[in-house]
Amino acid sequence: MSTLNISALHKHFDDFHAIRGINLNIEEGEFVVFVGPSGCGKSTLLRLIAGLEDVSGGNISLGDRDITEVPAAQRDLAMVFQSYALYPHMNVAENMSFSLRLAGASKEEIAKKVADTAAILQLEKLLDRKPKALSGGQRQRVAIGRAIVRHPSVFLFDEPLSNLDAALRVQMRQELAALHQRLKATMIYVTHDQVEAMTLADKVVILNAGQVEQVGTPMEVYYNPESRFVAEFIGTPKMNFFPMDDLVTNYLNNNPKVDRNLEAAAWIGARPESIMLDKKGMFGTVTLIERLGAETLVYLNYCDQYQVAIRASSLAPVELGETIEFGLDLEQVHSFDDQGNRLSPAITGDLIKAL
Amino acid sequence: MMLNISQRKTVKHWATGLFAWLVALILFFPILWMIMTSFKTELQAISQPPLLFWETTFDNYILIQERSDYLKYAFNSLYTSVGGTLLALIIAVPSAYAMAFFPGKYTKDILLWMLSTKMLPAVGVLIPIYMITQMGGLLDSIYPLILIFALMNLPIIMWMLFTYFKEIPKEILEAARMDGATTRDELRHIVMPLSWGGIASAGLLSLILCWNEAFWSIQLTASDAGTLAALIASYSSPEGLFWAKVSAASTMACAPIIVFGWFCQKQLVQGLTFGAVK
Repeated sequence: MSTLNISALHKHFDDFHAIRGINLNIEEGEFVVFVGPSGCGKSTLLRLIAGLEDVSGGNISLGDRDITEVPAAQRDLAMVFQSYALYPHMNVAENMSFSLRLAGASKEEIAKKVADTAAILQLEKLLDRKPKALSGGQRQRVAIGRAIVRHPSVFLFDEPLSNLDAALRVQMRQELAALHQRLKATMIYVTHDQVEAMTLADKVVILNAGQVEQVGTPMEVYYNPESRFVAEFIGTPKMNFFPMDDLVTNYLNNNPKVDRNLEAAAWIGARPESIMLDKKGMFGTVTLIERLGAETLVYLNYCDQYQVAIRASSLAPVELGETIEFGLDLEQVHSFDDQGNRLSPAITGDLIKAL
Repeated sequence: MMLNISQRKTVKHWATGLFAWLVALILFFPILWMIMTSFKTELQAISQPPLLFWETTFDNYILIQERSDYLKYAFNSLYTSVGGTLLALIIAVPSAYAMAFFPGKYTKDILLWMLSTKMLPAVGVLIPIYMITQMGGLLDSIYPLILIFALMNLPIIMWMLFTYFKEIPKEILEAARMDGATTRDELRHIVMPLSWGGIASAGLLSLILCWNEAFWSIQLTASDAGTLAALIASYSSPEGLFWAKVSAASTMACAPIIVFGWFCQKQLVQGLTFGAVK
């Protein structure tokens, strides 16, 4: 019905090739998150879907309707902006009902829909306030309410939480997740915050320089990054990379073989939790210790040029400046070639698939 | 004599006040003199030294109303000013919208070029415009004046509106577009309500400029479509100046716009200083 289909999409801004041939399928009811570093084209992609930018090449279709050339106003999409973009001269109720009034809905219908939406978002008491009399979180709610009122085919969110303070961001994130559960609507969400991506998404789309690096569930992109870019982008602290030099080769040879064909790699990638302090064979100097309470992050200098982050237990007995021995969980490491493509087959756990 | 701080403050306060009044008086003096002269006889008006006390007479006003119908000229001024301003606004609002929200490579150049037309001396295009008006059979008609007034003020109005529209965040218009607004809806429900103050002050300024316009009014009109500027000019005749009558005519020409300006001064000041202090 309202599957969103993007094929061979391109966008040029003068000389800048912002979107370089993106193909993507978004199923009805999915919560899709576009994530990537700044300048990767995620917001541009969203604006192309919204119709706020002209497409330079390719197609966008919604259900069986080609909307590539359809003006934003007629696409049946609703968007929530980073700056909220509320109409300053209208009160909350007028802000939310603007689209309905434009569409010529009856007074009763407008009143009912506004009341229903206000109830979902707990805005009942604020309906006759102007935006400037609202707090950041309330404004964000109104912006979301403005989208909900219309029952659009697809919701678009452009970094909606980045103007909120940390505590409110967590709260709104949870509310958004609940809202998605409740409305079962298709939502496309742009963020540079990987926590938002991991927690909200049914499907994460990782973008890099105008291209899709990987599409998958949050757990898939975490456990099976298809490229070094994805591996580095998802996860905090970042994945550690070891060059396939003599040392690592030695280490691999001295450890029980795993059937993962790691030897062909140029780089071995290991997440901070896949590096063990109770395993032996590699050495590093401790440069920084971050005791977070529930866990301790230990940063090492390996071979004098690579920084290695290790997720250790809360009370790990390490000290600054000491040289410690560590090892890799070879079941969990990743291998990449010189170009940054993944070599080793995916880590196939039934659990990961289920998630 | 030594003054303490509070006394010095008082002196400073009075000195500033006095200076301000002095400047105001210098600016206002010609108008005052004009009003005074309008209540003198022609002889009293040219007497040397000037008379400060005299028996006031309303003869000039009565005479002017008898010789030329004041209300007809006043209405011509009103029609041309309002007509010219409305026409300019109707053209300027959508154009400023387009330039502010969909700027192209040459938008800045176009704006500058438009302003540069204000540097052209009006008399430079007198002959072509006169000829065109004459060929169109529109001499002494208010319609060419309305058109000329609109074009004359268009650059200023465009610039003012452009500055005002620029202040509206682009996302608000994009949000409206996502809400299903057409370009007309955007203008009507978002841009115009949000910049109402700006549109009003641009309109007010244009009204005043139109009302005071003399060059084209005098060149292109005579008795039928004459504006108040033409009325004043008609009293400086080759047979000699009639100071008292000219003053009476001028006073009547200025009065409406001065009253109007008095009531709108807040709007005007706000409009003209917009962007200077934020």
